[in-house]
Amino acid sequence: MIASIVACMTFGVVFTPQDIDGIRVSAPNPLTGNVRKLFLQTDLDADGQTDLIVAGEAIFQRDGVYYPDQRVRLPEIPSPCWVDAWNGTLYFRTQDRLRVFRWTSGVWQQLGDDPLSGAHESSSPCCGNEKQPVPYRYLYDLDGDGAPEAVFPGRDGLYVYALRNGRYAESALLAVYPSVRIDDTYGASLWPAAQRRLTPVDTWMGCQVAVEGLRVTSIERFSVSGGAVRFRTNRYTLDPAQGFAIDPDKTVSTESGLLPSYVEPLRLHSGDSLSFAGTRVDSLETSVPPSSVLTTSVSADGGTSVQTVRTPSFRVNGSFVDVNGDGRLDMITHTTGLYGGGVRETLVRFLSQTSVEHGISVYLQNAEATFPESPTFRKRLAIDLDQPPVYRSHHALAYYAGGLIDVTGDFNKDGWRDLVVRDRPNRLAIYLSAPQGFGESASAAIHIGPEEAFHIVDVNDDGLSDIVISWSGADERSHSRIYFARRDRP
Amino acid sequence: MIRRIWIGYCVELTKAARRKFTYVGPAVVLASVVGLLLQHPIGHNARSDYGYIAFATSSTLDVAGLAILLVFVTAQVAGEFSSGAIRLTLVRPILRYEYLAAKTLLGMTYAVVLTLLTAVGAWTVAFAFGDILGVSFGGDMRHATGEMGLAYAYGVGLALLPQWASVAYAVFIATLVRGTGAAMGTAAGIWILVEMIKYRLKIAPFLFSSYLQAPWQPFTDMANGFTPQWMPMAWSCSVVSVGAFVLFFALAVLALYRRNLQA
Repeated sequence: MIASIVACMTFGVVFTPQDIDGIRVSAPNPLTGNVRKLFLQTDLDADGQTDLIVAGEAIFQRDGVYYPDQRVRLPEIPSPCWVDAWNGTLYFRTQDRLRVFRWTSGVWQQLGDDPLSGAHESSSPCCGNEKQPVPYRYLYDLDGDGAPEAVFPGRDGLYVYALRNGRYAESALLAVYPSVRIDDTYGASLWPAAQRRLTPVDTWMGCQVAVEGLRVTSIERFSVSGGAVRFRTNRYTLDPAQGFAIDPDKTVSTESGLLPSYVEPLRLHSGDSLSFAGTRVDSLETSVPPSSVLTTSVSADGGTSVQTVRTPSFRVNGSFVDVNGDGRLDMITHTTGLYGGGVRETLVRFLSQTSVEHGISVYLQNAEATFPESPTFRKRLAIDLDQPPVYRSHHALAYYAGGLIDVTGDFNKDGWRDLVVRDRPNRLAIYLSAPQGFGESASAAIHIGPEEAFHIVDVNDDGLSDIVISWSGADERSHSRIYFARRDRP
Repeated sequence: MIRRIWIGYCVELTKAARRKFTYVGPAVVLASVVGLLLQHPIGHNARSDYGYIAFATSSTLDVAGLAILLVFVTAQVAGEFSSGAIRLTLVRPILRYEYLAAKTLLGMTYAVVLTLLTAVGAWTVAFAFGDILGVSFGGDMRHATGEMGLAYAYGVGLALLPQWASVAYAVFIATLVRGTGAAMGTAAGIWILVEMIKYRLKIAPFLFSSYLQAPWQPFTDMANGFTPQWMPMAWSCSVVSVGAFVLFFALAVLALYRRNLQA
């Protein structure tokens, strides 16, 4: 329900709060800062406005507002099940069936109910005791014909189900997983004889798989001596004429150079070469008090060269974000002012200072897929910790966990990512960004309760990021208030 | 005037050289430099030990060095007030502000000596028991040895400014309080009090005491593989320290001129 229409500030962005229970997002990805939506967005009633699928309900958008009386229950589907949406149609996948529903004339109309042969081989739809359908993305339009294919990870590979004659049927099993390896972490003792045992051999396999149209990429990680890692990438091309089977002639394998152990694959640009990036937090035990060091490493050329930046900072969310909207992820580093100035000054600060100086440095990625030696622009912030750090207040702990700063949102849709800082326990400050950097002063401010958390996500799919504030109520249920961004003035 | 101050300075140097406490300071800072190996061990392991040099230098000068400097300066000035020696001194053709200038110069010289001893001690220990190489992380050479040495030299120069402001502060307190012990206690007490409230009152950036270790921060950052940032710290440190020095020296001169030395 609309609590009120509040114009938080002007200067091109206005936030309109609205309470919508059921809007949930995952924890932010430490590397990209992005959260996974645990709800679905689709236009169910074909009125041109994005509707939401949350926790067993659909919420219709009317005149830009999600009214509480515009909620309807989803079709009764035996749990557990995954739900995905495609062009206003909902797909419910249970253990062995795929049911398709569409909202037509005010009721759910079932369009299909197809058995998933071989689906028992694929992984379980839900990992917990969810009684509601769990939003999860498994629909991909592999061949671009407008009809989605369903892709599920299974024990032996990816199961592809395609629409044939109006029914979904198994089309291909993509054996894209690497071969299993013997776990050599268990040693066998030969002597003394009393300790000889027959040790069962464990095998394991781990990889990341990405599906992009007719291209499937699997990435396998190898640990090598010296704490370094190497990644092997296999790129498969699917042939729609052969029922999405892998075209063996077009499979390409590459292997990266040696990389630090904390990096992982990340698409930093649109080029073909895979990129790697990662962050690691270390403690400088020799400093007094022990301080935290954030190491950010990136290789945008497939692992041939690695660029590393070290800063005094805690863990942060969103070290690689496309700040300027050019399709290339830019590097963001943070610097805390909690430790500067020496032993005595640091101790005094820990005992008596209630605010901390925080620096954000943005390194824009250039056309050669490298980052400049020095930051393209910087932003200095003063964050009120509520109490001196020695008291480890709730707000200070959130600061140490990287939960006070977010650079993933674009609230005015100008292509530049804007900065959201919880600079006080009860305030979110929004700094709009431009080519010269983040704004000098906050363009908007939003009230947030001390026990509330915030995330940035485009809830209504209008291209403008929104702010989701969530909290647990006295009924132990999760509640959320969405601050919808609007570009017009109030 | 310059000549009289110079003569007064030479006299003060001679007097200081005869005092045993003068030699306690260098011994303490050298012991501190060596003792900090317990907190920051080093070794011949092909890893640069600039971290130890930064830690030993800044910690020694900011804790032991600062305490010794305050005690040395307050004892130099307040001791002559309490013993009445200042009356004999001022019988000579030297004005009161020239007398204070000579005392202040002596304190500044002592600060230079302590700083240089700390620097030489830290580098010597690092050379003897550790490795002095370029700073590299992730396979990249971040800072070469020459670059580190230059940053350290900048740190030495910049660190003297807040120390000299501390000397002027100690001289000022010593002109106000009769008795060596009382002067030391007052100087330390006010210092601690201000330290505890400066962040709450948001006056820390305007106090010279906030910059005593700041000049070593860029060197420390470089030792840790960070990108050093000299500005705006160097600018603030210089302006605040010079301003504090001038203010405290002027107040000390004013206090001494208004003081009845016969009482």
